[in-house]
Amino acid sequence: MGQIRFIVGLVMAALFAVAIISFAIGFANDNSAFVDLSNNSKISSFSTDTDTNMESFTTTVNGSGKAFFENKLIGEDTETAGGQFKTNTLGVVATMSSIITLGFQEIFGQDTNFGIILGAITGLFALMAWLYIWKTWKGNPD
Amino acid sequence: MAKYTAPNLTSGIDDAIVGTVTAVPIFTPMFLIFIFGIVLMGGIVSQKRRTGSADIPMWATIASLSTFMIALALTLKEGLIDLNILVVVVVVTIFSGFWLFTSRTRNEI
Repeated sequence: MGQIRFIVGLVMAALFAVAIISFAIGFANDNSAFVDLSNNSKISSFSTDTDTNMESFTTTVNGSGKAFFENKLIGEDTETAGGQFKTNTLGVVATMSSIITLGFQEIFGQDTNFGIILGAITGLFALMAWLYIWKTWKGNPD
Repeated sequence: MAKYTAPNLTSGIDDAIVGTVTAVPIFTPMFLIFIFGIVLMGGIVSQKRRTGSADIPMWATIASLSTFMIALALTLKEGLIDLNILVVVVVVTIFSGFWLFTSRTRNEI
């Protein structure tokens, strides 16, 4: 999976989650529904966190893009960079982690006896995510 | 002694369904699972017959969205669906979308 496709996939997944939750809450408000998704605290906090991560992603990417145009020649063969180019990958990965955590909490519950299994599965997902990132940026992890 | 009291059909079909859900709370989740399964299996089989291979993440997302829309409609009548069930439907939809967008298969969308 290439770097662009990987980032696009994560960003699209985050935007999809925000769109689904916003639509459900808007539907409940518009139609005075008896069951409102915004009454669930975990969904509300997840939506807020994802919004924050996406805003941070946008700000960082815009700031990084300017770095290309702010390079200056200060002497012969000497150049100062306008800034460091970065894509705030950790913020996007944090959204992925939030999606997985929300899913496990809401589908499997928070029973302490079952916690070790969920913890192990979450750890496995985290390992796979980091291997994907390593493979994308550095090469084949095998 | 009767184990199940038949709902009153004279007050409308919606009240009859609410009566059924009240007596058998698993009715709504099973109904939603049925819709999810029908769309998922139907889509996979149809695409496999048409192109030779099936894009399971795509059909999981479409099945989730279908279930999500039905679940939203059920929220308009009191007693038809519980908040926890709606949350699970939303989470499954988000998971399916996550699977689709991070999938490496070449899909038709």
